[in-house]
Amino acid sequence: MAELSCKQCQELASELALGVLGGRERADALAHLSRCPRCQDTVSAMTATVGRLVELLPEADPPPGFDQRVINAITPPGFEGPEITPPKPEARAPRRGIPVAAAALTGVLLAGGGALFGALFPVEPTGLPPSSVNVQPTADVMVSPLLAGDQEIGKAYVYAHNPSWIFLSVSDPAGSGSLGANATLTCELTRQDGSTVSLGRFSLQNGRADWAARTPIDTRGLDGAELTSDTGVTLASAHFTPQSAASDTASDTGKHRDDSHGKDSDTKDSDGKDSHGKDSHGKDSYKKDSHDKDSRRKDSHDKDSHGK
Amino acid sequence: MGLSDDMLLAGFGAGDPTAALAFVHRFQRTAFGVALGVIGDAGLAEDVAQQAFERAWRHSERFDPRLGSVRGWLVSIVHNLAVDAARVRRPHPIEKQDLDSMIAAMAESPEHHALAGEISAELRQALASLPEEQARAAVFTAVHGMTARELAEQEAIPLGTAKSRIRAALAKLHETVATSRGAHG
Repeated sequence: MAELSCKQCQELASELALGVLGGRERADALAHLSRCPRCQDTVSAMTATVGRLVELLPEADPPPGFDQRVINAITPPGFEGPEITPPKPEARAPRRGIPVAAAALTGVLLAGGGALFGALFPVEPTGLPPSSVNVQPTADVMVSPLLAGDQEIGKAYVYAHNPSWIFLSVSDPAGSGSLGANATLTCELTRQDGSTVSLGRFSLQNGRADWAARTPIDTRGLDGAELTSDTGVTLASAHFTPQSAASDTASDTGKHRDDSHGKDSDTKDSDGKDSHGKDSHGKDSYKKDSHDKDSRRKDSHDKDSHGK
Repeated sequence: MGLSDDMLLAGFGAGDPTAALAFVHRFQRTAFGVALGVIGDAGLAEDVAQQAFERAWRHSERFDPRLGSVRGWLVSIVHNLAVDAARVRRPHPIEKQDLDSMIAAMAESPEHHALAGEISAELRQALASLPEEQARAAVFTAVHGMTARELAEQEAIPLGTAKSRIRAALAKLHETVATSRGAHG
C-alpha cells in the first residue's frame, strides 16, 4: 500500500470529511490517519464543518400523523404505554402468595426487575458538564446536586411521570469528589421511609458519565439517590426536596398511575411473567437480564437493516 | 416541559412515551427538512425521517454530547440514510437550478431555521460568498453525497478541477467555522 505523506493526506481531507472518497484513495488515507493523530484531527474538525453545513438545510413540516407513526414504530403492540410502570408492591405481591412481611421488599425487587426491563442504558461516558444541562425544576422535574462530601460532582434529575425516570450527570474530571476516575458505581434510590432500591450500575470514564434509568418507585416517596462503590460505600448522594417539586407532582403522578392500571394488566402476561421468573437472581443479574430483554425487544421489531 | 435536548433523548431512548413524543415534536421539522432536501420526494423523505427516529431510539446510548449537539447527531443519522436512499432511487442527475435554489435556501437569513447561532450565521454567509461553482461543489458533495467524479460529470469539467473546487470550497467554509469558534469560544 502506498504510504501517503501528510501533505497528500491533507489534500484528500475534504473528500474524506465529506464521506465521498472511494476505493484505493480512501484506504490509503485511512491507513495514514491510523498512524497520524495530526491529520486525524484535521479530518475530524473538517467532518464537523460538513455536519454544520448539512444542518443549514431548511426545516420542513412533515405530513400530518408523522409523529404518531414514529411512536407506533418504536412501541410494538404489547409494549404499549407504561409497561414499565410498577404496580404498588403491596397490591401485587400478596396475589402471588408472598408472605406479607417480605412483600414490600419483594415487590420492590419485582418492580425493579420490570423497571430495568428496557430501561437501563448505561450511557457511554460522556462528560456532560453539570452546568450544561439547564433544567429548571418544574412540576415534572426535580433537580438536585450530586454531592460527594460537600463537593458538587454532578446533578441528578428525576422526571416524575409515568414511568418516571432518573438522569444522572457526573462530571468530576479533577477527581475532587474522590470517586476514582473510572469507578464503577451503583445507583440506589432512597425513600423517605429509609428503604432503598438499587437501580443498576455504571462506570465513570475520566470522572464522567451520563446515565439514566426508569425509577421503579413512586416518586412521591422519593427522598434521594445515592452512588455507592462496589464495596457498598456511599460516595455521593442527591436529595430531592419533597415540599417543593414533589408535592406539585403528587396529584399528577396519582392520576397517571390510575390511568395506567388498565394497560398494566394488559401487558402483565407478556412481560410480567418474564421478569418474575428472574426475581431470584441477584441484583446484578437484573441489569444483565434487562439488557438481554432490551435488545430482544428492540430487535424484535427491527424492520430496517441493522447493518448500516 | 423545560427538558434539555439531552434529557429528552435519554427519555426517548428509555421508551418514555411522553418524552418520546416531545422528542419527535422537537426534531421532526429538522429531520424531515434534511431528508426532503437530500431526496426531493416527500413520500420517500418521510420514510427516511421515520427510519432515522427509529435508529436514534435504538442507538440513543451512542450519543456523545462531547462530539456535538443532539440536533447535529440526529441530522447526521437522517443525512446518511437520505443519501443512501437517494442513491438508489434518484432517477435523474440533480438539476442545476435545484442545486442553486438549495444553496439559496441554506444561505438565507436564519429566521426560517431552528439553528440560529453565531457559527451557523457565519457559515451561511461564507456559503453565500463562495464563487458559484464552489458553492455548488460544496452542496453537491456535502448535502447530496456525490463524489468528485460525479461532480466532474455533472459540471462537465476534468476530475482534477472538480477535486480542487471541492477542496477550495471546504477550506473556506472550514476556516469560517474554525475562526468563528475561536472568536466566540
